[in-house]
Amino acid sequence: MISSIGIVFSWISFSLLVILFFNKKKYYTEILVRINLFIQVFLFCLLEVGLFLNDFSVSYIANYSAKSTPPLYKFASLWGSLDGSILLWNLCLSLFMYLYLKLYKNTSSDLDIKIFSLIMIFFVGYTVFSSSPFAGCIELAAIGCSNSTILPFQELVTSSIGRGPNPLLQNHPLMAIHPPMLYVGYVGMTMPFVAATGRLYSKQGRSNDWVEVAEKTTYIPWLFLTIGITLGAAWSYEVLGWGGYWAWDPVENVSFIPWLLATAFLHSAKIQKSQNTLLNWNYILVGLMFLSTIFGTFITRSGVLISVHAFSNGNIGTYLLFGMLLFSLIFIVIGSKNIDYFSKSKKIDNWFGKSGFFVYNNIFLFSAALVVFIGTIFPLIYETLYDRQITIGRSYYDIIVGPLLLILLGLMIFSIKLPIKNLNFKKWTDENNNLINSSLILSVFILLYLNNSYVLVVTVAISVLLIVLTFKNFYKNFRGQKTNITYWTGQIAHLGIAIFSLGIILNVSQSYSTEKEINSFEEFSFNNQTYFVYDSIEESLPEKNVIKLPISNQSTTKFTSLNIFKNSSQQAISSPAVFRTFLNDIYITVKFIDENSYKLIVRNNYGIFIMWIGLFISSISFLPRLKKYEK
Amino acid sequence: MKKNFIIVLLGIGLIVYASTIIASRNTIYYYTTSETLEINISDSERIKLGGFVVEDSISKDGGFTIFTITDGNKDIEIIFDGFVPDLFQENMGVILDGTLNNDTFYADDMLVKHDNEYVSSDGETYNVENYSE
Repeated sequence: MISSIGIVFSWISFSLLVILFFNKKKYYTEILVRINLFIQVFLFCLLEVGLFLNDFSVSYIANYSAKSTPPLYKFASLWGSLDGSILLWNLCLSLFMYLYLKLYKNTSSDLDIKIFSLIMIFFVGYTVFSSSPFAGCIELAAIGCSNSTILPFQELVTSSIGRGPNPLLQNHPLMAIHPPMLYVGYVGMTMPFVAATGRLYSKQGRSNDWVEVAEKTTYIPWLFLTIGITLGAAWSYEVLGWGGYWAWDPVENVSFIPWLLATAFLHSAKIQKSQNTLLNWNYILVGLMFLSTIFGTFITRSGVLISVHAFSNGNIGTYLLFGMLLFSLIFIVIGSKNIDYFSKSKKIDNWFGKSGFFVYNNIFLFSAALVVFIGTIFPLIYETLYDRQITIGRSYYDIIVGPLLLILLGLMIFSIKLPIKNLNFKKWTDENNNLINSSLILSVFILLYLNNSYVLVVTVAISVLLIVLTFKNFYKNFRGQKTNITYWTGQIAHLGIAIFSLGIILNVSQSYSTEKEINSFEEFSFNNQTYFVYDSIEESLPEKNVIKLPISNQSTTKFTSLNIFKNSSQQAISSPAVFRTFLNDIYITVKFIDENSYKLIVRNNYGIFIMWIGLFISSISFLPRLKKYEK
Repeated sequence: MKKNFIIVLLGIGLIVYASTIIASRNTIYYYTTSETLEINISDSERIKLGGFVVEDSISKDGGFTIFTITDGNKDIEIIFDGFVPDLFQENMGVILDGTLNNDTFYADDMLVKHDNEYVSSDGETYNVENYSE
C-alpha cells in the first residue's frame, strides 16, 4: 500500500515539475511550488511511517531497516542508503525552491524558477524512472528483498524480517544527524547557481544584483556544510575508534571541496560588490560550487571509489554524470552570453590593498580545492590508465593542503583592517609592534614546554597573533547596534579558525600512542596517570552484542566497547573510552580480547577540545548573518 | 583580460602538475596474491594485499590469527595481529595491511568487504578485482 501511494505521488510530483518548467503564468508558479513542497513533505513522512510500521513489502525498508532497529535509527534509516537519501535530497530541494521563490525570485523573468525546476525534475526523475525508495518487493532474498518493481499496484511479497541499517549508522546519534546537515549544505548550493544563471540570462541581472543574491543564498549552505563537516569529524573521532577525526577519505574530500569553494566565493563576492571586479571569476566559482556537489554525490553514491563510506552501486553514476554535463552546458551557455558584461570587470590595481588580499585568499582557497579534487580522482584515473587499484596516502594532503591553509591563516591577520589602497607594512608593524612581539614571546614560551618543529612554531605564532589582534580589534572598535554584521561575523569566524589551528597543530605535533597488554583487574600507567581495568561486561541488545570494558582513572570510569552487530553483514566496531581535559584526551580502544586479557591502544590526543571550540565558534559566527536573509 | 586568463590557466596547470607528481609519490597499492610473485618489495615496506580466505585455513595462536588467502592462483599465509572483525570468515574477501616476508604476510589491519549487500551463501564468483571495486 505504502509502496503504491509513494510511487503514484512521486509521479505526480514529477508531472507538476514538468508543468512548472513549461508554465508561463506567474500565478500558477507559486501554487505549483507549494504543492510540490507539500508532496515532498508527504513522501518523506510516508516513508517514515513505513519504516515505523515495519512495512517490509517496500524493498527499501526490508533492506535497510529491521524490526529490532531502535526508533532513532529507524528514523535515520530513511537517508541511510542511496534511494532514501535521494528522497531527503528532493525534500531539501523543494524547501529551498520555496524559500528562493519567496525571497529572491527574479521579478522580471522566471528563468531562475525554470532552471530550479529543471534541476528538481532531474532528481525526482531518478526516483521515478530508475530506482525508487518506494519500490515494492517482488522477490525475497534470504533476508530482505532481492528484486523490486518501480510500478505501483503490483503483487508484492513481504519479508518477515528486515536486514537492518549499516551498523556504522546505528552506533551513535551523531550519525543520525550529520548526513542531513551535509545534505542541506549540498542541496543549498543550488540556490546561488540558480540565482547567478537565472539572473544573468535576463538583461536585468547585469548589474551586481546577481552576486548579491548569490552571496546571501550561500550563507545557509555554508553554515550547514560547516556544521555537517564538524559533526562528521566528531562522529569519526567518537565512534570509529581509530583516534583521528579526518582521514582524507574521498567522501570527506567531496564535502570539503564545495566548502572551500563557497568560502572563496563568500570573500570574492564582497570585492565584486564594493569594487566591481572579479565578475567572471565569481560566476565560475558559483558554477563550480554547484557542480562540485553533484560531483560529490557521484563519487559517494556511484561506488567508483573504495571508501569507508561505501554504498552499493546502482545506475546512479551514469545518471549523475549526465546531469553534470547538462548543468555544465546551461552554465557555459549563459556564461558565454555575458562575455560583454564580464569584460566590464575592473582590473585589480592595488595588489597590497583590499582587493589584492581578497584575490590571494581566493587563489589559495581555490588551489586547496583543486588539490583535494586531484587527490580524490587520482586513483580513478590511475586505475583507468594502468589497470591497478591504488589509494592516495594522507601524506599527499599533509604536504600540500597543510601549507596552503597556513598561508590563509597568515592572510587573516591582515583582514582585520585593510585599506582600499596599498597596505603600508612598516606602519602596520609599528602599530602592532607590542602584540607581535608578545605573541612571538608567548609562542617561544609554549615551544619550550613542547616538542617543537618549525611548522609548529610558525602556526602557533600566527594563530596567537591572530587571536590577540582580533580581541584587540573587538575591544577597540566593536560598537554594539550600529555595526557591520558581515564584517564582525567574518572576524569571529576567523577567530574560530585561529583557535582551531592551535588545536590541530597541537594534535598533529604532540599526540602519541602506545599498546598495552593487560588482564582484568590490573592497572597500567600512561602520561603520569594510573588506569585500572575491570572485567569486561557482555550485553546483548536486540540489534547488537556489546562487550564493554570499564576503565577508570582516579576520578571517573569510562567504557571502551566492541559493538558486534547482529543480522547484518558488517564488521565489529571498536568504540573508545575518552578521558577528556581541556588540553588533551586520553583515548583508549580495545584491539583484541581473549578471555580476560586485552590488548589496548592508548593514545594521548592533544588539542581535540580546542579544535571543537574553534569550529563551534566559526559555525555559530554565521547565525547573525541569517537575519539578513531577507531581500 | 586575455593576459589574466593565460595566467590563471598557467597557475591551474602548475597546481595540477605539482599535485599529480606528489600524488604519484604517495600512493598505496593493492596487490593481489599473484601479483606478489612479480614485484620486488623489501621486508619493511608496507603494502595492501587483497584476497579471499581459504576454507579450513583459519587457526589461532595466542594473540595471532593465522589463515591463508588466495586469488585463485596463489596462496599466501597471513599472520594477523589485531582485532578480527565479526564478519571475518571462510571465503570472505579481505584487504590486509602489513609487510610481506618470504611468502608470509604480517598484517595488523584488516578490512572486510563492507557493503549494504549480502554475499549470497551459494557463493558469487570470487574475484579480487570485482570485490574491491
